[in-house]
Amino acid sequence: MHVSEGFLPPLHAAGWALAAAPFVVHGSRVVVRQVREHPESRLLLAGAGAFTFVMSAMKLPSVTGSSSHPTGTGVGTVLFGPAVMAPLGTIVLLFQALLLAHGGITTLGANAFSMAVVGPWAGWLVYRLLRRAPHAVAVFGAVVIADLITYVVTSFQLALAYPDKVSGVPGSMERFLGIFAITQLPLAVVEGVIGVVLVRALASWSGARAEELPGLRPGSLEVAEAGEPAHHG
Amino acid sequence: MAERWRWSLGLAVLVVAIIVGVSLGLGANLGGTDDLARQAALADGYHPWFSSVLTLTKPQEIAMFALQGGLGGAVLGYVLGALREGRPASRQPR
Repeated sequence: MHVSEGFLPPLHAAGWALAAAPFVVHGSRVVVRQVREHPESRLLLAGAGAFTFVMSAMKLPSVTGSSSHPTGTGVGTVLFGPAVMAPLGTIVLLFQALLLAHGGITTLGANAFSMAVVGPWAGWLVYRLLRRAPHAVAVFGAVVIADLITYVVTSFQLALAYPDKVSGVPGSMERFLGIFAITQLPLAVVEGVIGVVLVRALASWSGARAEELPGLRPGSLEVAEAGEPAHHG
Repeated sequence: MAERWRWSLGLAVLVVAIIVGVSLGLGANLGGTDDLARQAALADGYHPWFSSVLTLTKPQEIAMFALQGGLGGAVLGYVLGALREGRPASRQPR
């Protein structure tokens, strides 16, 4: 989903970087506060970041005959809310830009805005909307939407940069969605299933009740004492 | 070996195996969507104004993606193993 190095005009690149920056700064503060106030949540925070690392490294073939990778931001969104995913996702993007020549430094702001900002916030919105549904359904919906919306935003960013000569931005958006969306749909579903299994494992093994995860109720994460039976959400 | 390290090693190996296996097997001849988007931009006559100083060959790229996945898998495995042990690291005696 990454926009490649140098593939956005300088003004666009600067604009997207400015748009993403406040979310990354705010998210970093939220992470620091989370760790300070709830040091027991460090493990889950590390798990959320690691899941993004793993999923965004997996280039998977899809039904369209091309490959793409999941984003991995949905699980952290469910566990901690969308704000923390801005810095965590940006770290992953920076790693890929510097060491994998994937994405880029000039397009880091645009990629962070799509993957680490809009994706998680859209996923969180779905998670909240589905809060009365079975928890697995809410998690699945959040993870799938966090993944898919990332690619919708990427398509929009590219469409803005490369408007179609006849149909303008909408026509170009359709073209880029055609490249990303159909490929991404099955991968998002796979990520959703993995996300449900992982959140269930993390929640039950840490003793946190699903409805008490910070994504729903900030600051309420409880970790069971050693040997204490875990609550199940 | 403590459960957390077993999980860490196990998940790292699993993720690396999946990435390398898919890259060399099923996905070996598939173009990525990123490449398709890049080609669409180039077809519009756009010339990138900046390019990465790092250029990786295909095997190097697979190795770096495997490294990323392996690192993530190791940390995620450690977290899962530590939680399964029921003794989160922050609560162990120092």
